[in-house]
Amino acid sequence: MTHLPAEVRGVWAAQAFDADAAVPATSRRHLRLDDDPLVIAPLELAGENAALTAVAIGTDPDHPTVLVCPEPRDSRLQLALLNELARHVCDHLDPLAADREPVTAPDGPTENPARRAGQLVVPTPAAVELLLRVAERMTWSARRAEEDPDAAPHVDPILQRGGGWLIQLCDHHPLRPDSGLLVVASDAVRAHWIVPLADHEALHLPALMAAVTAPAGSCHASAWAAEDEIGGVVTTPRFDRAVLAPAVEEFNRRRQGAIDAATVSRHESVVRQVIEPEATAMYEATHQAIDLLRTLAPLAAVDTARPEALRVVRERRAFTRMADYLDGPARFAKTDSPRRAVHLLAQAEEEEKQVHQERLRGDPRVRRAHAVTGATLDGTVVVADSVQRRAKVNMTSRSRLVVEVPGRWVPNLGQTYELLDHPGPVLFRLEEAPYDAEADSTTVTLVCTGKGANQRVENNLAAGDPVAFAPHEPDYPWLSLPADTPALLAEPEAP
Amino acid sequence: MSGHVDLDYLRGTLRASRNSARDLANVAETRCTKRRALIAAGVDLDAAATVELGDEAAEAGQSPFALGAGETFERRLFDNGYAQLIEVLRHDLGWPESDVSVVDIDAQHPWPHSSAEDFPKRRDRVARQRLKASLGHVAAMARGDSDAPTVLVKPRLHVTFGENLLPVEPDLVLRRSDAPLVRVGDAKGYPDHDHRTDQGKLRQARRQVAVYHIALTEALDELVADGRLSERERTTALEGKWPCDPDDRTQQPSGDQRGVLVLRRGRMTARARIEDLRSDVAMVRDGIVRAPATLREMLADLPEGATLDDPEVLAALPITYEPSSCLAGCPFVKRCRSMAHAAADPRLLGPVTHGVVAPVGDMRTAARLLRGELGPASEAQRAWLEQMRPVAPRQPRAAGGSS
Repeated sequence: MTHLPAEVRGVWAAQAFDADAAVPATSRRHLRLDDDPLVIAPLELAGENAALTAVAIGTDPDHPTVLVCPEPRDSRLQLALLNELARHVCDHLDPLAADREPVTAPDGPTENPARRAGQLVVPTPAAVELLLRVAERMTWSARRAEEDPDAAPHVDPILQRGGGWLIQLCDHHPLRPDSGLLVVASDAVRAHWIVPLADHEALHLPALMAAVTAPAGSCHASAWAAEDEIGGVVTTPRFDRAVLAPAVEEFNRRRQGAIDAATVSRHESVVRQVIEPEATAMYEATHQAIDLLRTLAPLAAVDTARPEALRVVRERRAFTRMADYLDGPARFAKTDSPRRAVHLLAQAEEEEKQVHQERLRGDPRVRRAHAVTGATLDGTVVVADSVQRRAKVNMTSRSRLVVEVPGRWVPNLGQTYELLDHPGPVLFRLEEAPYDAEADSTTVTLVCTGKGANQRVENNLAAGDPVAFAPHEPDYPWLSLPADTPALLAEPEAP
Repeated sequence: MSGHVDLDYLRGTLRASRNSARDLANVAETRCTKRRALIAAGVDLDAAATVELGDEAAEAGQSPFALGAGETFERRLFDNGYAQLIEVLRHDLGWPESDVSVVDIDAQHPWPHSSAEDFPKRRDRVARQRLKASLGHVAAMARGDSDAPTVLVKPRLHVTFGENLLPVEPDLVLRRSDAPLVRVGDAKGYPDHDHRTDQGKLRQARRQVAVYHIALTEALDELVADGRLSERERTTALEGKWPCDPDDRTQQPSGDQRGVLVLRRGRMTARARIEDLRSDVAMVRDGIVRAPATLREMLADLPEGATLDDPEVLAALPITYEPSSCLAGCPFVKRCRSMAHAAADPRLLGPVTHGVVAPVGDMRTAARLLRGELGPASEAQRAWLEQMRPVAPRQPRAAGGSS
């Protein structure tokens, strides 16, 4: 939703409120969706440091695996759950990372990227924060076990790898929120639909899904009714008081301090039967969000059916770098060096710019929304001809387009417009855009800047043809570190 | 309502707030007159919401797991002669190795049990004793007396809100033995994850310490007015600099407003950090003096003799619904949200929608104007419609049941 101009967001939200129904913010899906993403819905114990009570995990919408820790404050039992979680993550991602496909670029070296990038989907932004802290706990426990095996005998080596996957994916997300490597279901739904809910309310996934899927006229009632369910990563105080705390107490009474697998599995059902439905509900809500997103046709850049799709390729490369790093040193620092941070930020900003361009080019609804600020232009050709313009000392012929835009269109002064759906980048500069109040339309005159391809645009366009323009974003060179710089490294510094 | 405001009378049968510092910290974030009035009157908001709304009041209280973890942490911090607290101050804040003297107001003047005979009188008496003892110790700390404590636990201080004094009890007032400066501190039971610590919780904690800082400032002002402290001693106590502040990245020369937060590390240990409170102190002060600033102004429309334990009186207090502050912990939120929904108030959907729609009034009017069902009734509406009309034809179909 944040990719829309504020005026559009405000007006569409008011219209959604009036209709008491969610309205689409896009006409295409803007992120890659796998056929079988790994959904992770974690729940933590209130007041503790990344102590998981349960995790619903899996790819099958109807049959999640629910891992339960009947006493999350017991570090040994917590470790058992983390081992299982790491195993599920690795079982899903490692085979994908191992399935490589050598690719030789026409003007570059041979690469060996994974044939398909993995994908994790979590319910809310809070789940990303939680998984990151859990992942740090995993790698920290594994490191301690490596250094002193006697001190941590219950640690499985897979903890290091599972934690490494989660750290990299969760750290990747804030810099690249549009990446399909880790998808936050609530954010993704809000990027594609405008719901008449406040930001705080929309962080509750069941309420958000109720709002989006409710029939017109019942959006608020449905969302507010769903608010009583658990909607984030922490169970409610009322649930803890009335249900979870007595169950955990009963488990502790029955096990009498024992931590062996047989005793725990014999008695864990008292906790499992109360927490499993809650974790499963979040898992199902996440799958519901995925199904909803699948109803939208993908942008070309995220269409997994097209192997050359730009973001699909980029995510395969990023995924491969993560796997390669786990096969190597797999050490993770808490902070980046300033230099690497600058590099990562610059890279992320560059990618964000490209993603925004993809949205404007591939999604007519988003493009029309940005016409409000003058950034884009959709209209009908009135005149397509050429005019004489002075370039330095000589007169040259330049393509000219006169385009009629319905309503008032205020140009973004100083911007260069790129003609879409036309071979080669053809850039135009705005000459004038007078508004005719009687006809309620704006007649926009644009002249080719002469940069880019030398096509005679007027030969391909005629009066009555629909045309669309997006802002031209020039690329500026920047001092680059190697493209394979991983997101986090302990040592040494990047060159 | 006019004349003197008797808080006990005004509260009626409603219980007094048990955490005025948290309430005052919330004042910085809300413009709701109802919430401000109840806080200024020292009312427990959850109790007031239950009186007005019954079961409709938002769920109160914390998870027993969070409460247990917090209580265990605080107990451990203060157990064994405050060993862990002293260790943390030495290790994290460069506290000198010299003797540390702790005075615990809670231990010296314990609260009576609520079941005790004549409880209200005894409670008021203990409150006066705690205030008197606290001011005496704070004065000695500010003067740098040799017998002054270096750590004062749970002192009782006051913050002025409108025409009333609201009591607050910081966990700590600290004075280093090698410097005359005095600082407030608070212990929080939630886990510290370094840079991943929940920023919302951290901001709330800082606001609360800012309230304590304001209370300390008021206490020192009062001591100066009483002649128990010189102006110079007051200034030194408030504006002095930690001699070797390990976290000092701000390099403030003087006049700083910093406090100490003690947070939980893992399950067993604690960690102290110095927090820069300048913006938080400014926000809390702005919140306190923001109009309507006095209880008399806030309750101006109430009839003579009205008390806040009357549901009709509570319902008559004016509200300002803002999702960001109200949804974060106001027990009246569901009722206020329904009222904002009925009025199609654009604040309901957050600041972006409010900023766009507010010029024409409410969201239904905006939608009807855009659909052409309503003509602009003013120049402002006409100008708004002209600006926003390009957005309106792009109105997509409703998505109801689109899954």
